[in-house]
Parts: sequence; structure tokens; C-alpha cells
Amino acid sequence: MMEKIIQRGEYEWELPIGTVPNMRVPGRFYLSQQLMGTLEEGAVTQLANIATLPGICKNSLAMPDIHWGYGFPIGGVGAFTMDDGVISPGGVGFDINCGVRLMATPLHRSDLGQVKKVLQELYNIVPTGVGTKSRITASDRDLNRIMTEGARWTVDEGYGTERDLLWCEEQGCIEGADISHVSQKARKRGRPQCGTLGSGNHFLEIQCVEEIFDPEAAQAFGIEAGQICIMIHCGSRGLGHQICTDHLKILEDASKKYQIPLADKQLACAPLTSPEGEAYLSAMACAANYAWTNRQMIMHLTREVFSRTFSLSAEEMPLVYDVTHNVAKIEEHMVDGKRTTLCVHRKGATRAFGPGTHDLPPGCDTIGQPVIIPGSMGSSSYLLKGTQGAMEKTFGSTCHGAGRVLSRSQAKKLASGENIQETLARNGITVLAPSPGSIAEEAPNAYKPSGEVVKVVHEAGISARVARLNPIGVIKG
Amino acid sequence: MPFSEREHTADILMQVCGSTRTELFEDAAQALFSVMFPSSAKEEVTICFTLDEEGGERLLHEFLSEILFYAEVECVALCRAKVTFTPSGLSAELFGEPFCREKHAGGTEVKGISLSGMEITRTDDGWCTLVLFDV
Repeated sequence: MMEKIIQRGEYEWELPIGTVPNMRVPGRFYLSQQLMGTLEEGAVTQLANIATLPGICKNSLAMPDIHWGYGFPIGGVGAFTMDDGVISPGGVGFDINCGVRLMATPLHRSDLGQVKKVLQELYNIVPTGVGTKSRITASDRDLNRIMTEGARWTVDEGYGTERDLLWCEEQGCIEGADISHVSQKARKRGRPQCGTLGSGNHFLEIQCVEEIFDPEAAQAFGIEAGQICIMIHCGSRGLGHQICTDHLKILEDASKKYQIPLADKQLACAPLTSPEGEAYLSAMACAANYAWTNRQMIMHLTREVFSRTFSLSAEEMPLVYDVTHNVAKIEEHMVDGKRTTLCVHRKGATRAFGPGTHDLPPGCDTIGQPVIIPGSMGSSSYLLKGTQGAMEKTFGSTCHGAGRVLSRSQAKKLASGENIQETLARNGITVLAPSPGSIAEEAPNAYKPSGEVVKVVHEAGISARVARLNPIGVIKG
Repeated sequence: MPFSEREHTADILMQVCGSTRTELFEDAAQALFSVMFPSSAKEEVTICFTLDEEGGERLLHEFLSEILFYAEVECVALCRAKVTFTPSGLSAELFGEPFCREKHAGGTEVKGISLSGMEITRTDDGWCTLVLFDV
């Protein structure tokens, strides 16, 4: 398998047709020589498997945070033509619209005082971890609006501002959400969880802008050196997980009905034009809209803490941007010189639209879309911008994070959560979590170095560095 | 050994074995509980449900997915499952105690049960399958 990989550029590699049986197009991935040692055969196979699906356009793709997942590899991108292409939950994941947002403040490191005190207050206020419930219980009517209007609901209810919507991918709502394709089970899980962080690799982090690479873009995004920012990483919670589970079953049957051979059962899919495909797309939109509402609610709670502690107004804590990294969206891209409508799946990959494209925030038409790349716990996160290179090479896509190199059990064997907490504290980083195990699983050495991953996308021209942010305090579930 | 963890980078992959199909299903549930509720032990709460589904991987997938649903909406930390196969599927009893953050927060949230790699096979000692938990 690995011997079939062909190098096409300093950071570009190809899996030729024939790497696995029935590939319709080649696979392509972005990686440096330094990171090649982290490439797993399982992930390569998954990238090749995407290319077997009907209607796949140009290439199956993977970003430099590629690692072994299920269905698509993490870091996988697949674009499908509308007429004969398919949609698959294996290209989205259970956590629909898992994503990340960055909020700026007017504070600098010296303003923070006792970081641990602020962090503890955030930990007390933001529902975090397994089994937690939201501070609000959404009514059925609220839930319907959340699923169809997304973050717009939060603005109407006083949990956000109009400006927040303008600085969010899709303005916090994908159109076409249809609540009739969301089960009662999903609704039951969703109602008590809107505004909860979850667990695993989800987190809320206080960060400081350490370095500006692109002053013009940084100014357009509202970022300056030394500034304190808050990064929030979470998704659609039980509602999204249940929607994926429910539709996976329907699409498994649909794959047989439409006689689509599957290299991996998790690639269960249906034609985009089929009732089953349309049902999943519209239910997935419901979950995506819920996730944007979720992140907006958590940002609202964060603003409340900072407002109380530092006497700040919401306007002084603007949203820098919010990106999703688990979604399938209908987008227009140039394919062989022709404007073509595609269903672009990004599973552990982020949209990175370049200058002049649609859905850019105000004042960013010549800059490109902000892209947020969280680092692993204790390492740098990055703010990037989308590029024309991404539009040409990757359907406007880039990486989503550092990418795991160790399994959770391997990570726990290498160091205890307490040791990691102490080491990070010595480096000036405070971590609060409900258990040492959850810290150990997310240890920094379980991930690729975020700087190297970001270097690859920057050098490959599929997004460009704007700023680097370092963690000061983390709360995780 | 009823279940053992295999290496998987992003998620948790378990190999589950049982001398009978019933044991296989119950051990798969046990594998799931070991991830979600490593510290749970008491049987104070019982949750019952039935499933109508064709046997094999579909039924196992549905069974484990249903456990995720009930654990969350009933706020229960689970420790044991009892499975009885029926002509149309199965009936199940889940045992556990009310979820308490102080006691049960050390577990890992499972987002879903992947279909990847799930294939129930006969072995010399009974039945075996891989199950992948998305975390």
C-alpha cells in the first residue's frame, strides 16, 4: 500500500488509481517529509476508499493532520457531483459540525491576574464533561427554531449579537434544515444539552496572541499581539450523534437499494438526488445549526464571566470567527474551468475560502476567510486565512487541528494526567478537567506538532498563517 | 477474555468474544460500559427495551446504539446488560445506578458506534467481532 504513494510536490502526494480496487479518481494528500513517519496504512486505505464512491470529483483528499478514523480518514475531504454523486455520514462523522470558534477580548496577559480564578469560574459556569446538562432547557418550539435557524435563535433570545452572525461560517445556519427528518430520540437528547461543552478533545481555552505573521489580515480579523482570546471547541452533542446513528441505518439499506458497493460499511451512502440522501442532508443541517447555537451559548456564558470579572461589554468581546470541521455542504467550485455545484464532505477538515469568494465576513473580501486551527493541549493554536490555492487544489479546504499520532490508551501509558497537569503548570498553563484520565488522553505528545501541520498547509498554499496563539488556561470535559 | 482494546488512533477499537451469541452481545455492552463508566458498580436501576432488527451486525449495532441513548436520557451509569434473543430481535435489561458527576465523571463519552470493521465471526471458542466506539 505505502509503496504505491507517488510524490507530486514538496508537500503533495498521490495515491494512484488502483491503490485499492475500484478507485474512480486518484487520492491526494498533503504532508511534509518530517511528518511522513506518522502516516498510517489504515488512513491511506481510508483515503483511497473515498475515491471508490460514485460521483467523486477530481481527487479524494486528505490534509496533513490525516490519521486513522472510520469511513473517511480524519483530515479527509471528498467532493461529489450533484447528479450522480453520493452523500455519506462517514464523510461527516457522528459529531456533526464539531467546530471551533475564537473570541477576542481587549485584555492582555497582565490584565488577567489570577488565571486560575477566572478559569475556575468558567469551569463552574460552562457545563463540561460527561452527563452535564445545559443551564437552559429548550422547549420543543425552541429546539425547532434552533435546528432551522441556528445561531439566529441566540440573537433573538439575547444570547448573541447581529455581528456574531456575520463572523460565523454560513452565518451560523445552513439552509434546508428539515426537522421532520430528526427523530424523537434525537430531540430528547438535544433539548437539555444546548450550551454544553461535552468531553473528549472538546475544550475551552484562554489564549494569548504570541506572534503576528500577517499584520494586514490580523487587523482585518481584529487580532493584535499580546491580546487575550478565548477558543471554544465542541459540536452538536447528543442531537448530532443520534441523527448520525439514525441515518446511518437508513443509508446502509440505501447503499444496497442503489447497488453502491462499499469498501467500508461506514461509507454507507445514498445518491444526493435520492429521498434518503436528501433526508440525511437536511437532518445533518439541523445538527449543524444546533452546534452553532451550542458554541454561541457557550460564548455567551464566557462573555458573562468576563463581563463580571473585568467589566467588559459584549461588544468588547467580538467573535473573531467560527468554523466547522465535520460537515457536508453544497458549494460551487471551478472544475475544469466550469462552475460546478458539489457536495463537499469535510471530516476533520476546515473550509478555507480565498479572497473574492462568497460568505466572507465584512471587510475580508481581499483577505480571505479566517481559519482557526486549534493545537493540542499545551501547544500553539493558529489563525490562518483561506487562499486561492485552496480553491484550486482542495475545494477550499485545509486542516482542522494537529492530528493524533497515539491512541488514547498509548497516551495514558506514557504519562499520568497529574504529571501532565504539573508539567503544563510549570510552563504557565493551567488545566482543569473532571479526571486525570481525560487529561492524559489529550497529552500534547499524542498529537503531531501543530506548527509543522500548519507549515505544510501554508507552504502548500492552501491556507496562510496570520497569527499564533499560546494557551494560558484550559477547561476540558 | 471477553473484550480487549486494540490500537486505533482516533477512537476506541475493541475485540469482543463470547462462547455464545448472547455472551458476545453482553460482552460488547460490557466493553462499552468499561469505556463510559469505569467506576460504576451498583445495580440500583434497571432499564428494559426490545429491538426488532435482523440478527447479526445490524442487531449488535442497534443494541449498542440504544445503550448510548438510554444512558444519556435516563442519566444512568451502567455496569451490566442481560440479553435475550427473540424471533424478531432481542430484549435487553440494563443495570446501573443514577449518574453522579463526582463518581462517574472519569469515563469517556462515546458519540456513536461505527459500522467500520464490525463483522461477527465464528471461532473455535464461539463468536468474535470488532467494535469501534467514536470518542
